[in-house]
Amino acid sequence: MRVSEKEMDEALEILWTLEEEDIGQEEFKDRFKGKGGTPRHKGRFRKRYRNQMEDKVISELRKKGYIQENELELTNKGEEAARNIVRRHRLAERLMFDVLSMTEDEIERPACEWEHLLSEGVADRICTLLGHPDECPHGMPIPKGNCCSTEKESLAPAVKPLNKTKVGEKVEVAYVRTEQHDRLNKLLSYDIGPGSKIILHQKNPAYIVKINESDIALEEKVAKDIYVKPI
Amino acid sequence: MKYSKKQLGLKKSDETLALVGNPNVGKSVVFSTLTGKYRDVSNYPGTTVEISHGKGKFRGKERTIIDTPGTDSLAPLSEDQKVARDIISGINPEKIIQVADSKNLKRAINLFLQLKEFETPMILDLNMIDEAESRKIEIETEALSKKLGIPVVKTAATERRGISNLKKTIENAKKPQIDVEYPEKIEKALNEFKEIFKNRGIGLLYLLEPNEMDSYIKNNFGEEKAQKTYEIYLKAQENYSRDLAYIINQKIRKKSSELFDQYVNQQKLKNTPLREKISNLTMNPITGIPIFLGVLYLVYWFVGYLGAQVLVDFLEVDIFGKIINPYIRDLVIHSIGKGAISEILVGDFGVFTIGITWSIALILPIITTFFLAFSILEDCGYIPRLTAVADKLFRKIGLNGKAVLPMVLGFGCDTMATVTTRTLDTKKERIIATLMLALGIPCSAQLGVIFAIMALLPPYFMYLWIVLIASQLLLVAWLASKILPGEKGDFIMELPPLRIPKLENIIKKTYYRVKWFLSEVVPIFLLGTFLIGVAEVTGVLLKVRQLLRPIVSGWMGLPPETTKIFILGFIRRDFAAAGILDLAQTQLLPIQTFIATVAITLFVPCVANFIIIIKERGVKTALAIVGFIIPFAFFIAGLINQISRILGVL
Repeated sequence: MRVSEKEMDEALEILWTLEEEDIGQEEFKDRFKGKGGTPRHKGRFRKRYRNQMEDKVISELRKKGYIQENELELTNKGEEAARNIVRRHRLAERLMFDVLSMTEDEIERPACEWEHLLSEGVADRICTLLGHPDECPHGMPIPKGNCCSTEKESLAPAVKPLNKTKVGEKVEVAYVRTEQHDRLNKLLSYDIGPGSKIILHQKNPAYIVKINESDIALEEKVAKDIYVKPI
Repeated sequence: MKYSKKQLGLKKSDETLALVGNPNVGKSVVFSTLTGKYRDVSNYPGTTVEISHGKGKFRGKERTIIDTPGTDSLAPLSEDQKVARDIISGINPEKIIQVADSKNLKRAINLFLQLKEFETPMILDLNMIDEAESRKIEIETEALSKKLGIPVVKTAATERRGISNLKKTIENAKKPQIDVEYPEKIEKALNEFKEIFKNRGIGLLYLLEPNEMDSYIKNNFGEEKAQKTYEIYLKAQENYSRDLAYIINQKIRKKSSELFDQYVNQQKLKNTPLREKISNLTMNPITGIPIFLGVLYLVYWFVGYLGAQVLVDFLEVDIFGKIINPYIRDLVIHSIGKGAISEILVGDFGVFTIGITWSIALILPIITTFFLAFSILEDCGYIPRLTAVADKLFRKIGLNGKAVLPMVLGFGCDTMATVTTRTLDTKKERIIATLMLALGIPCSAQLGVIFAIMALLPPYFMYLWIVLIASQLLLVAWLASKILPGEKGDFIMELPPLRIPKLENIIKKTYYRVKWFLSEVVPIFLLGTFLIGVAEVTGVLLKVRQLLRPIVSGWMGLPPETTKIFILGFIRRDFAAAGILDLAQTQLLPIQTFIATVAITLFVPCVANFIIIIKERGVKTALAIVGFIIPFAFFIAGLINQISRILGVL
């Protein structure tokens, strides 16, 4: 049986996530210095890995030069290919979550299908439409594409950071970028999070947003992390 | 820290009732109405940073009521907000009254859904119901009560509306009966936590803020339980790529949105309310600064002119100078004769001639007018709006707009303001803010006296003083921000609604603050003047004067008599300023008055402030701050002297 394109894609994606997880592990250990916790995703990913990565797939990946000769590690070429697949997958998730308003549980399967169908050009357009997001709805980073660095907006984005929103506009929060746990928690404590409806009152000297009956002042750095869409 | 009943001086059998709620929802007002105890109440979040408790009787049963600082989450970020958690998990109150802002019910429900995991009988108090009504927000109380499983009452505590109903309801508090639909794995973890901590509350907080809660559990429940908790957490987190905190928060928010949509109706208002228009004007870059200057001018007119000049002139010159003091002096000399004791009592630096006269005739009218003006500003909600205007400036000096609040409060009292630096997010910010307060924010009493001093000098000295002090403050804070390690927190701050201040509260607040001044500060001052009187009579003062001569006379170019002022400055700088005022009228040149004023403005505020700095920041930091400030104050003042000599001003 020949190895299909789709199976290859999936294998690459898993390898990418595994590497991501290894990096994540380090950070996680940092948070609990000295605790020596068990790896958090190990079990889950090993399971997925065994079920799908059959010998054939592995040898096919090797033949194409995607993984190292002796180890299950991505080569530069493999990394490039995997990045594009992961990017398409997570952009697809964002699209379904932000624009099509599907729930987190609903989007996993269709996203898997989409990642094989989208061309790079389409992915870039979706990326632009979504305001060049950094994270998928599950909080995993979306690899950057060419469109992100040029910042040329050939079409009006449907989702954009709050600092690109007009004063007086009523918008709904699509998501909050979350590298900083504290920032997200603080915003959530004022009920600023996915789904909340806010009005931007002013941008200078500080951002003022109205949510329910409260006025919240924010600095620009924080406003840039809040992605919103028109209602 | 974990609180216990013992720490609050309560018996184990005492039934406690905790007031918990989001910031600025009126917990302290409710507390006052339930206990009859006075609490400082203002219209901005963070007025209460410490707990207080008092007794109240409900249906014949006496209960201890505990007021806590407001918090939006029990998994807290800033120090003051941790208190609510510590009370609930430490004291385990028999009942909880959650005080809510009726017009912001969603946030209250978010907090409620965390609180309910502690399985304590609760009441939900929909406070500020009047403001919700004026915004056409309707809450279906009965249906909501049924759904949550606890009594829900409406109050407008500032108007005593609904309070008797609240009191009656207290005995009917019930355990909440509502569930958040957490995913199965999280639900399982929460139930496992329950076996360790008797309820799911602490476990929920652990999932929300594992770092912070890990050390909390270690310190309060022991290493073994901490390890178990950690393992449960790991097992739960393993299933998700996102932080559990995020997933839990999303579920809580979803639930509260559902409840909100179901039980709260809001009619659309046709026009933007005037309140909102004014609020926008105060923060708009074009109108915001002129409004700020206008407010500043009004305060100056009221405090600096009416209080510090008109009232002071009348009391000091006409009443004390012409009537009371000559009479007392005659009386003392007549009865005990001239000598050391009468010198201490009614001499040039006597307890009566200086101590009482300054306290009553000089500082009292100033702080009374100041606190009146200040209370109005506090209650109308203007001060927090300054945080938005000043955020960018403050970020240059290692702080953010949030630090405006302690700074402005410092003009009231540096000591109390130092306590409110707890509301800042990081240690670095707290140290910088403490340093700035100690260095150059004159408190109300001192500010008033400085206004009075400046009135004696040509007007440009006033501007020079403002520019000089402000620039030194910014410079020092900027340097500190470069030297000190650490980060600054995000500027995310709630602005309370603009309100028309309630006369009753303004008068009450001013009364209690003036009373505090008279009972706490005046005795210290009297003691100070007494000690200086003794030093004068015994010749100690002369020795100190000689010792400080190179600094006072040589470097700063001031007459040796001013040494007394700086010694007073170690006790309180407002009294030192009053000393300058006294000398300025008789023997100082304008430039000397100015130099002495600058030195004393930059001095450490008072003994009380120093003690609070030790308490809040630790001995090391406190000594470092004072060790820097005193030489710095003399250095800058002397520098002006030297420069003015070179320029030939003197």
